[in-house]
Amino acid sequence: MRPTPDDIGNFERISQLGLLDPQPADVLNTEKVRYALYTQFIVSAVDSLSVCWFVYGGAWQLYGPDRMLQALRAATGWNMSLWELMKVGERRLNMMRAFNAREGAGKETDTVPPKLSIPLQGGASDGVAVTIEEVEDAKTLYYRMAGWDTSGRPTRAKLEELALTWLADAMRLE
Amino acid sequence: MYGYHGRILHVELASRELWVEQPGEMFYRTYVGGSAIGVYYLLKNTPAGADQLGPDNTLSLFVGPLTGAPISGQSRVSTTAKSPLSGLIGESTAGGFWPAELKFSGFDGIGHSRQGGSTSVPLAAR
Repeated sequence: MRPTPDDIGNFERISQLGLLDPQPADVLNTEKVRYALYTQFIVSAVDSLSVCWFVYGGAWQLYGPDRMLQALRAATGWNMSLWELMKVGERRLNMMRAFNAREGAGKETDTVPPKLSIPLQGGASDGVAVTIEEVEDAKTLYYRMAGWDTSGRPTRAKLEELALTWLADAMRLE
Repeated sequence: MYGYHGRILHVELASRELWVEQPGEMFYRTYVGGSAIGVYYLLKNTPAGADQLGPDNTLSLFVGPLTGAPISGQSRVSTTAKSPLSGLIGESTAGGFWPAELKFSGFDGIGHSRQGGSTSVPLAAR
């Protein structure tokens, strides 16, 4: 069943990230890939601020993105926007991803437990599973949205967009 | 600049040297803190292919601009290193009083590089 915004207690917060269309729980579709990308940026921003995941975040936490930004502005005096804060999170993710790429890890290590492909039995989730193909398709789309290459490594253009030209140079990206 | 001391303590365990780096405001606004600064130093200081249990792996401890402020959920420290388990990025966070106390010490974080043969405890206590 497709949820409405009224079903989602944290909709007001998640909508601050531009995620406006709640999806059914039992599908893996393109909107969920976008959801994964944006929510990773905000969670990565929480880790860049080095504050608690249970208190700050994009959804059910004590403080949503606007309050986290308010605290950051108050502490630093910077007139930071939520856009700039999301970019901070994306920058951290891309630096970590580049580190893993440098150490030889990419797409082949982005896997989910095989158990997820085995349909659940009984109860409200009876028969629900995601196929390996669905996961692989979602990965491919995620990499394209993220500005990574087909093997899941950040491209020079993405790193330069995040003011990480030094990193693109260090990795000898073309 | 508010929210930061603008001072990062570096510790070279092999030579038992300490030095203080004072990055500018642009550095802090770009990377902000926590494991974002941690992975910055890991990329700079740990060579590609380094043995994660060898002397070239580096460890950093970083807090953020809100650490030590009188608000909820601020006392967290991020530890970043090449993971001994996976050989890939390794990050872990911890809380309690220690992260705020690190901030009160006058530093935004500590970067450790090049392990020595001797224990780091006397250095940390110095």
